[in-house]
Amino acid sequence: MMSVSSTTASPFGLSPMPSPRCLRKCAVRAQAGAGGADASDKSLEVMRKFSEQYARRSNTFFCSEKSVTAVVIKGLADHKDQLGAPLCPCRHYDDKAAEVAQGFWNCPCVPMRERKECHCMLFLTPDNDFAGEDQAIALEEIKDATSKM
Amino acid sequence: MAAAATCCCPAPPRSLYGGVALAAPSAAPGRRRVGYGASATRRWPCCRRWAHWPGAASRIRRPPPRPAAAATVSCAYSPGAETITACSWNEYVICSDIPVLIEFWASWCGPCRMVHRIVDEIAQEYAGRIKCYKLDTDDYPQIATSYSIERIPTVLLFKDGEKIHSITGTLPKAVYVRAIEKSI
Repeated sequence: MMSVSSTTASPFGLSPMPSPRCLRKCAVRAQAGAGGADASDKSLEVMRKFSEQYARRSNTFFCSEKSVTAVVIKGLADHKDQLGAPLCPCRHYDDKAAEVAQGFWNCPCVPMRERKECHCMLFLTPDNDFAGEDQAIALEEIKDATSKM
Repeated sequence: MAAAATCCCPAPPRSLYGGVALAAPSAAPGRRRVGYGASATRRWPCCRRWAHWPGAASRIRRPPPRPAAAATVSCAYSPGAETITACSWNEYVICSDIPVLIEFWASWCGPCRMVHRIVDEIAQEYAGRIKCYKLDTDDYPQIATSYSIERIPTVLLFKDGEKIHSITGTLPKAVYVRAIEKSI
């Protein structure tokens, strides 16, 4: 959680379009596992790491259906790119920017921190019917699940 | 009669216009403007308000309502729930003669995937008895806001144009089925 709040301010969305040459270089680096290929990959990785870490810390588990977890992490990463904070993707907001500033629904949201309630089904308590046994998800899994849509 | 119509204000402008046109000699358009001058021009915009009278709706020519046939045809071929837009909301939800189930979703909402599947199944099982639609809250926020959707997925059930049931979150299929059975 600390790591997330410390990185929220970094303007991922502002980096200029990488040139083809740069992309190739980044792709090589991504294969080597040393970071994302572009801005959205980077925040996807950040959110993935955060999710694993927070699940372990709060003693919660990912959904038995991993595609749900993958989609939510992708949603958080998208919001982080667009709005600067991982706003919960499972709500409808009149004004997303205002919600980000308010902070109530920035992941981990207040209900999660206070009562372990995550209606997005990212962090499930062990007694939840949908809870799986994993507290880890691979970046490839997320990409696979989200690329189908 | 035309004179009477011009005198009392609430007369429909069509008769007023006709009356003036009939009464005024063709040679004196300029004089008429001088003669009735200010008062006439002042009265015109006022009298145009006839368009807002209760009976005026029948006078305004509207394009005939689009037949719903096209929608019915596409339903027959699509197995699951259809996508609905804000434009078609009134036609497909409010004016539907069978109960309508709407799923509010957003693109990166994980639980919505599970509800999608349930709604698709329900759409097939209850084909002809209820209609199932999906609405992307990011595309049509005004609808989501007007029905005060906060958490997604939210499933609303409409009957005779009124919201009769609201189910929020990911629940077992039986919960949705029970709500539907009650409505039909």
